[in-house]
Amino acid sequence: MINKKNFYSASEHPTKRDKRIIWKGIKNAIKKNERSKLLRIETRSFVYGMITALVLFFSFKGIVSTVENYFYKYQPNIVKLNRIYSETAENLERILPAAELNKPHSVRVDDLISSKNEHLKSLNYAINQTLADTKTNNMSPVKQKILTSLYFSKLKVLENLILLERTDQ
Amino acid sequence: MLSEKILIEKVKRGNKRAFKKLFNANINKLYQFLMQFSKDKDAIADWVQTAFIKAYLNINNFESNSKFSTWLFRIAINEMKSDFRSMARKNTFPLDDCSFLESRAANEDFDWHYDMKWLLDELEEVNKAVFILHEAENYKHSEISKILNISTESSRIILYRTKKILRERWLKETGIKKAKSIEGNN
Repeated sequence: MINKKNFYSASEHPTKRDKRIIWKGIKNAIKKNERSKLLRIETRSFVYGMITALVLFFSFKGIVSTVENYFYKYQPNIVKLNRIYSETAENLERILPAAELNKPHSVRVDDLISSKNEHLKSLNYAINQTLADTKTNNMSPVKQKILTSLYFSKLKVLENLILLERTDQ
Repeated sequence: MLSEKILIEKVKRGNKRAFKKLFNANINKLYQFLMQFSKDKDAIADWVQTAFIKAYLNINNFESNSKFSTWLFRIAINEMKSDFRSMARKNTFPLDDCSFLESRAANEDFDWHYDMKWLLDELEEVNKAVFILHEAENYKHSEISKILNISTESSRIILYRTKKILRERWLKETGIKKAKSIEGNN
């Protein structure tokens, strides 16, 4: 074996400055690596979070619609009927704007349209009032019957409005 | 100072102060060792730095049954070799070439003189590495085999051959010097 002191010369030793520079470089490289590692983890967490949120959202929607369907299935027939009337009325109202276009109508048709519109407004008001009552006082069969007749009347008025529009063309 | 194993466990848990202690304990001998292969201090600082960075980043792969310095030397030497290769220099590390299976004669006594050091520069890098690791750094052949990625047997043979070469060259040099001084006296 060789004595180290007899092998290495003083000039081959790292100086304090050399050591400081080398350590600084190591420290910076480690920091940089940790930062990029953290960024990688954060990005991954964000993506996983987004995926989880989407999955939860769709699961929640699925659960809500399943529960709704379940309750709808066991609702009384009159409630189901009212729901169908309400949806049909909404659909008819959607195509109704054709009857309100600013095009020349005969005076008689104009009067009829405005009176039907007034009727429609009062029916909507009555429906909303009855619906508010059913929400607070539960669904009594009498209220449901009233709702059915109101929806029926509304459908009739809407039908008349649409027919009026067609005959005036 | 805490034992190396405890320090390594701490480094594995992300303790940078423990790594600084490992750095302080190993920097001198790694730097001195690498200085035997190049006089370019910037290159040596670069190899040392990269070796420590790689050691830190891969500390979880370190097997605690060997010394940290053995692993560190191996990383540094690999770094140096790849640098030599990329500099398109002759690859003087024929580490896979172990066809020179000579007899396992016991090493004769070898008297080292500091004046002999320049002879090391004429050796192939692998011979120089084995010689320094064994003679100056006191590594066992089993450890050198891990550092240089050669077999233990090859390490022994290389050391034997290197000592033989050094002794022969030294005798030749001193013989020439003696002859010159006699001539001068006459």
